[in-house]
Amino acid sequence: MIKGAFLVRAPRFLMAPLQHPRARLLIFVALVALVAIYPTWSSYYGLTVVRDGLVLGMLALSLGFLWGKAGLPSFGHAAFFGLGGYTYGLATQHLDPAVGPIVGVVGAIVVGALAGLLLGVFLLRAGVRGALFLIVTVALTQISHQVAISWSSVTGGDGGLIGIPPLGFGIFGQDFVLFDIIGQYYLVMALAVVLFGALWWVCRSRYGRLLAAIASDERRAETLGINAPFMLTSALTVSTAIAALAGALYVSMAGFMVPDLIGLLLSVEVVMWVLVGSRGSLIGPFIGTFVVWRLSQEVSSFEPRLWPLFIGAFFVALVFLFPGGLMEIVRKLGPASSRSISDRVQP
Amino acid sequence: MSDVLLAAHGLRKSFGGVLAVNGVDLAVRQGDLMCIIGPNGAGKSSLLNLLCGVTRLDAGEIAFEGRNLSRRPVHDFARAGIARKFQAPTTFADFTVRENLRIAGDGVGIRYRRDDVDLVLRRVSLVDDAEEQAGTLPHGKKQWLEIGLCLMTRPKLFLLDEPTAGMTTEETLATVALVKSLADNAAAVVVEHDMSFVRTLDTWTSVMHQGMIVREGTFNEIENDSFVQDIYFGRD
Repeated sequence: MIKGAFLVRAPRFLMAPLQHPRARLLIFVALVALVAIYPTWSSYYGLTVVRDGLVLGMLALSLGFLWGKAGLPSFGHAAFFGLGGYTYGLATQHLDPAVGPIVGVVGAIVVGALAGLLLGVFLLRAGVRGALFLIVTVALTQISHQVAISWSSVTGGDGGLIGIPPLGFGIFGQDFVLFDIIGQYYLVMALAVVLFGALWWVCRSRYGRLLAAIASDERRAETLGINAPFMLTSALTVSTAIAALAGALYVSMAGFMVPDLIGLLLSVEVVMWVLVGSRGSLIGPFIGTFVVWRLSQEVSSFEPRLWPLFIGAFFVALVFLFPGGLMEIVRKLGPASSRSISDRVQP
Repeated sequence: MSDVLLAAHGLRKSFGGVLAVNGVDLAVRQGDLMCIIGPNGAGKSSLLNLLCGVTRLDAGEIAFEGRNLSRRPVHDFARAGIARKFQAPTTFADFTVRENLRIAGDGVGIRYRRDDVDLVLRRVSLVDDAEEQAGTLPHGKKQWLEIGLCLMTRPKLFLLDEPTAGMTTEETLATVALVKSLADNAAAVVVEHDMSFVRTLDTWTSVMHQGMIVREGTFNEIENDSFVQDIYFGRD
């Protein structure tokens, strides 16, 4: 076990309980509870950090699902995130404030899903997989970034869209707008929990089992009657819709949309978050996001130009030392259990 | 003929200028157990790949129960009732044996119960290994699991590529019984290299050579055919 040789062994009694499904559920509930009561003592800044972390965690979740459960890696998720962001920005700027934000969020989900569907129909049905798929998604990110800069009459070019209003809706002639951080915080938390729960359920279902089978051996799956291109396209569609939703949420809270949010750096960072949290788990992407993204803020506050260098070195180190991510370390150190599907689809 | 399950005409496939399958006709009826033998590179596996849809035909036509499958995607072949066991055991390594079987049942979208999975486990002698990870099984048991996967899809035609490769004599004998039982309610086409296995199976046998079926007959006829001995048994 060459991989294992690099691992720092934590005491087994610490790690073993994490293997148990009930313990995992307990940890999940504890995490949610912690996030729920955090506002009682947190500063305003602390709340914005967790709020944004959760939104970016949703982006990581969307990639974690696609990569970890369906076996499709992507360097293009910033493109879908950005697509959602621009959709929200444009909808709110061109529509009545009473409907703009709602149309923006729903529109982002629809546009994100369509983008994934289109990509799936053209690439996945044609048999594009693995490294080739990865390369196409890199190109996709670059093209999206270029379009965001060049199509300035719509996107605002380099300057982006500014003054984007937060989430809100109008009913009975009254406008409700989520200006306050507490409202935004709990909305994001609720969405994160719902999305996580929904994907967790999907992965445990018959659909999830077939998806995992395709990821394991696509030819075998197909010769057993599984329509792999259709299944993978549907997973991609779900994934890109969630990424776009995360983009819309992020922009609604940041108040601006710039081409950087659609760039390759963010795409790489999402991959990092998922890798650190370990692909194959759904809670991992959230944990990975918080760890790496906080780290990026610390490093950037020290010297902004260091971050791209840092993330590159970190990436290489991660692949060499912990190819399975943080959750994989937990898994390896636990008791050797027969790894059944029910183990793998735990949160 | 109404009882013809699989009717293949003029199957042709080339890879980079090499004709792997060069005009093969094949008819399989309900209850048939057929062996295809031939030297390495004769195109046996390529033929099975065409018949289960994983490679596309260059020319020819495959009809299954009168339905033309020639241009259909792979999963339609499986759903029509054609099950494939590959030469190298191909199972879902990270899943347990039982989960493998459930995936196979779900894949073709049939209704099955726990009893059905248990029944298949018994037929392929893997009852005691049901909760083992497929990847950790010994080679011979992987082969059986793969036949189990095929059984779960309740196929009308089994395409078995070297089902006894890497097996002990004992396992080979058990496999002979299993393969014979497959043809009871369905049909089976077996590609095999192991002559003792084919001899024990003692059934209608086709010989492939350079992408073509060059001889057909009972195993006894084939074994005593001088042309077959030249190309296959290596008579000087």
